[in-house]
Amino acid sequence: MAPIMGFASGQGGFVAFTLADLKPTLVQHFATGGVTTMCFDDEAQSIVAVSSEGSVASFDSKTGKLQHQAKLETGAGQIACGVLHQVYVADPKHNVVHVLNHVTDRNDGDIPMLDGIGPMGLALDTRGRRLFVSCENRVIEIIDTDAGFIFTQLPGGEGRSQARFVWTPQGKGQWKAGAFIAQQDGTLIGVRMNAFINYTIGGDYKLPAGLAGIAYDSKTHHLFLSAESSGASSVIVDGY
Amino acid sequence: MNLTTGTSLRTLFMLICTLACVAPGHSYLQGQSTGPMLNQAQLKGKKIFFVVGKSDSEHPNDDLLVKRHLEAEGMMVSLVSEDDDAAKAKGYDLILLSSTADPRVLGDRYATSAIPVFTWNTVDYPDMKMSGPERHVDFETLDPSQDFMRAFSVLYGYFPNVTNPIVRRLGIPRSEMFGTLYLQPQAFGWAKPAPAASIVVNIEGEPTHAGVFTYEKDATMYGGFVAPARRVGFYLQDATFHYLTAVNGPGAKDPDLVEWWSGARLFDASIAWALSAPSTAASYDPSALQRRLAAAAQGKKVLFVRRLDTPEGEESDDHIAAHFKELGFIVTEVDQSEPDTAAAGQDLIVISATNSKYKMANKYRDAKAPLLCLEGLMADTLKMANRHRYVDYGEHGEPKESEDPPEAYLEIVGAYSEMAAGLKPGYVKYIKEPDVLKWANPMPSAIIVATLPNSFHERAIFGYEKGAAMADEFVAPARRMLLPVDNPAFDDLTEQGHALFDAAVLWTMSRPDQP
Repeated sequence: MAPIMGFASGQGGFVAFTLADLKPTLVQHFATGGVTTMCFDDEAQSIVAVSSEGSVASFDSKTGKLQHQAKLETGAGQIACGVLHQVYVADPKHNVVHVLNHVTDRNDGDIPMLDGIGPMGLALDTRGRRLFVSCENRVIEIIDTDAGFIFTQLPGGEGRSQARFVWTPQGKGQWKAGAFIAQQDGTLIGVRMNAFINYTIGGDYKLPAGLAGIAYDSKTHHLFLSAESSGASSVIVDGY
Repeated sequence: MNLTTGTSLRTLFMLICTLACVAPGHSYLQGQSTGPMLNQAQLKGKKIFFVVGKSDSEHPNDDLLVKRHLEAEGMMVSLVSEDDDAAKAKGYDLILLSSTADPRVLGDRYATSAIPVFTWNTVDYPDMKMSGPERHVDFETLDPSQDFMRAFSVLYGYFPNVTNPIVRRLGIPRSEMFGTLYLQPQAFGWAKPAPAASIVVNIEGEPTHAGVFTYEKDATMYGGFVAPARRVGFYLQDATFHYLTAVNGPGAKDPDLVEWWSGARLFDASIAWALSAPSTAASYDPSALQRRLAAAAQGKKVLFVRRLDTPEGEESDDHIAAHFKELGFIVTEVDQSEPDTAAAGQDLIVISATNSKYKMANKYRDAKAPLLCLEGLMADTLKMANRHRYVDYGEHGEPKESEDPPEAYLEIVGAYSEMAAGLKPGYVKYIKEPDVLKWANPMPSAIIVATLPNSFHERAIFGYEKGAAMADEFVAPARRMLLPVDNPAFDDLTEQGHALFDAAVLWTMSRPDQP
């Protein structure tokens, strides 16, 4: 039986390791540096890693082996794996979300922001049709990915951010889905899906500044936020 | 939707279309001036007088977004109040009327302005003379809360005329549907414009329910009012500008999706058309017109299809043929019974009213050469109109066949067109004595030049540009034109009637207005 793999990324690099003993099976240095983030392409069963200075690579999630690697314009924001081998990359420098293809190693197109400036956080619904983009200037853009069209804008927090999309975050009978955004100024926002084409702000919490990462536990319905307040790292557990 | 200057793909697309639109043009033989539409670079610096209503925090609108968008395109936009004096618009290049302005306050204050007007204030259309006065009949505003189902149906627009310069700029290859606004129930405005308008977009399967329509300068609007400058009506409402469709990302590489989500580009192209120089026809001068026609006729072959050896109208047909020969045409006369292969190699086909529709069958419908038909009853067989006799086409003055009396006058409504021979808008005596005059009600892609007086829907003179969608979506293989010259009316034409005849021949045989 093949070992279960784990993956980590850092500055311009990627590591695959076996979860059982944390032993590295692959250490990949990219041609370009910068913060490297990754996402899981469920359809392709690939881990896609993107460095902010222009590398895109995909790895077999079962073996950890390199599948593709290319130099493409990327960005310093969050990434999100979509369908059809596409990966969305927030690029605050050019104020767009790049749509990159990690199989053809090409840019499939860019989606410009409307009022948002500095896209940083990305959350994609698991069907790949709705993309939530939190920008540095207190704007959340909601995009129909079929058309690359921003059809809703909502108020957000300020600074860099990360986002997560969750179906029925409180369990059945309440929200259909939500996108949760943790922003640098301490704003935690839940964007509520009322219908597939209708979204509102479902909740807005002011937490200590310096929010960074965000994760969700579907069993306990908890959000986990990492924060960088006063220079010391901490983790906030916030029931939603 | 990108409403800033940042979309390189869109810019490239516009550049390609612009280059196509300014390609070496048509031969109007100095009869008509039609400048190309301004390109993106030429729009920079244009001064826009933007009339808006009072802002209301409970009812957000897109006026500032429109302003920002136009400024991003290089235009200079001044916001003015609905109750400002229209004289303040002096020196501006374009007046925009937002639906946020109170139409009762606006009234007709911009109707007579010699500055082009682009409006999405649907309720003000009647005061602007752009539509008739009756809500739900002549114009309509749809609201999602009031008209929920129809607020979805208006998301699907239709381009009825790909030869329209605005539609051409979008690169739409054939009459087809498109997405007007983003996929949510939307507010919308439409109107039924006057015959001389060009319908750019219609909705809900109603050919005359125009979401976007234009009037050329000197076109006749409602109530005989003549457009002092270009006019554009657009389907936007208070807060729908940001829902104008556009495509970005992977979809922008698919031409079908680019054509489908073209609402934002349609807005831009309509603005560019409004700001461009109007089309103007040469002044009325029958002698000069005949000289231009004679110059064009030299060495050209005309096929004159007539009923030979007939006791009715033969002399009139002889005179038409003689007129063509005098002009310098090489004339071939064939009987209606001959096959339409006679049209091969001809530069122009003229179908006489002496022909029997029943005997002519569908001949010449597919002819590659331009065609001028003098018999209104053939409008359906030639795909110029639908097939409902006395509804889609008909006649005045034919005993037992028409409930309308004989008529001698036409009303010129498309004075801007070369087909109008430079005649002014209004009534013109066409034949010397009241007699039979035929008419048809063509498709929205036709250019309407004259109607029968007091018969708004009975269009007497009209033409289809090559490539325009005729009845049943039949694509005009070359220019097609209808001019009612019933037998023996050619000899009864007035001086103005003869000028209209010559203008019709010249327009039909001229090089199509195509990129």
